[in-house]
Amino acid sequence: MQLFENIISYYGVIEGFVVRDLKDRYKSSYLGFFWTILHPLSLVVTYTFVFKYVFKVQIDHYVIYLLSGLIPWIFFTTAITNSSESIVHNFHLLNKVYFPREIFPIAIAVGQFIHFLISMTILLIAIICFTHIHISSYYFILPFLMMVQFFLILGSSFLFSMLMVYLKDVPLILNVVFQFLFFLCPIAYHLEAVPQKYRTLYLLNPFALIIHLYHQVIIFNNFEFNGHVFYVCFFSFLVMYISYFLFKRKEWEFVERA
Amino acid sequence: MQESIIKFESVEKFFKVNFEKNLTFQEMIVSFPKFLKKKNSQVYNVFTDLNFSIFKGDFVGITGPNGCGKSTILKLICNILKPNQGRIFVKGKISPLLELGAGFHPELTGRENVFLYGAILGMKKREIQKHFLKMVDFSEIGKFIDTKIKYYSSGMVMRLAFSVAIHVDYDILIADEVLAVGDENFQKKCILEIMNSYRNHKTILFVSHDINLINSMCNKILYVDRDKIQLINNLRF
Repeated sequence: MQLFENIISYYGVIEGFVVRDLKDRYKSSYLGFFWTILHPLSLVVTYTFVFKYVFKVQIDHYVIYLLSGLIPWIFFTTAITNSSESIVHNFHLLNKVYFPREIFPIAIAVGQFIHFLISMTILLIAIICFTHIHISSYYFILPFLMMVQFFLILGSSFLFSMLMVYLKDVPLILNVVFQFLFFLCPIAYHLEAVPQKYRTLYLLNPFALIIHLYHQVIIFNNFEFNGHVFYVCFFSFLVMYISYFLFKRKEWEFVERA
Repeated sequence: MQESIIKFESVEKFFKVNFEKNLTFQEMIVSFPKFLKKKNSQVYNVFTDLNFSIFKGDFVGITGPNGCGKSTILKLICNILKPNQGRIFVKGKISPLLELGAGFHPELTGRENVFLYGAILGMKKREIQKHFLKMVDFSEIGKFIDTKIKYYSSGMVMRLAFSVAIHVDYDILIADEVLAVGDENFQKKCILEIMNSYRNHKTILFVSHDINLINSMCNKILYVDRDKIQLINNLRF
């Protein structure tokens, strides 16, 4: 596939952009690296109060449960919103040097993936140190889940960064959609709380399904390759394939339109 | 027969120009029937049937009034724009000299920017490390190499950008009015360096409004005007 060829031959540029973004982020703020952890933690404090003490959600290890859904969720939202702006923001470069346009959304997605991996590692360390959750061999599924999630993000990034060229409202729309989607994902509550008759429909949302799978692996030590898993793999690859196809068809217009 | 390195075959390029301001959603609804009917873009022809070849080892000066397509031609060569008609052949690696170091990031140090910029121009990490000292030396940045770029003067940024671009292992060098910044000393140094690579049979495209400079350096002149684009052999060579 052309995508992988381009990634390999422009590896240096991707690396350059990723390093630039990481350095920029960590150098220019005082707490730098800790924001990666502080952001989910601040959310955890709020959600624990609201859901555990006000709404009285009954889930063991509620903080860990929240975090293992929130960290993937933050990966989804920040990677997709940031990369949707990547083509337009880097217009001054696109206009001067040639490289395949998909380099920009890819670089953002990879950068966010690194943040995500750091957060996940810290979460795993916290699980080992502070809880009695059993670390089982199911944890080896995690890299597979992350890859599926990464492909879904990459596909959405291509799609939205392309749309952003024509419609500057895309990040604002995404913000609203994500706010809505947050409550349609089993992050703060358990999937069981969704009425049985809606559950199939509910899990058609790939975001909800991926977060549910993370919970299954991390908290409940339970995972099987059922229809849901195949569905989400298929969906992610389909999104990536179609978005990339559209992106490549339109990429020549970016310089003239953006 | 010399080997042609850049070849334009009946190339046509036009832009769609929007003359109306961007409508907001509200305005769009108010004027909806009109909005559907009216086409608010016009076609602006930059050139319709452009043919020329540049050979390996040519030093082409590109000149002409503003807005007639100099940069469009360069962008077509760099593969940034696609022609609407016709074909363009380019053989070899291009090193574009970007205006004032577009691609530099103000929050990074000079050193980090050299690596970023080198990667953007298609250099491998090892190549950059190999040439790093030469680049810094040439740019005369000295001890400020570990200072953030945002504290540099515009001349310093230009010098650093030029130093990186000239060390890329290129076949075609594109310099689009880059010498505007930088003091006289450095300008001379740049011109010397460009002449040097000319002697090494690199192909150079040099955009400038300074006819005398072009006359004294280039062996060919591409004159780009509204209704006429022609490649002339410089009589002095």
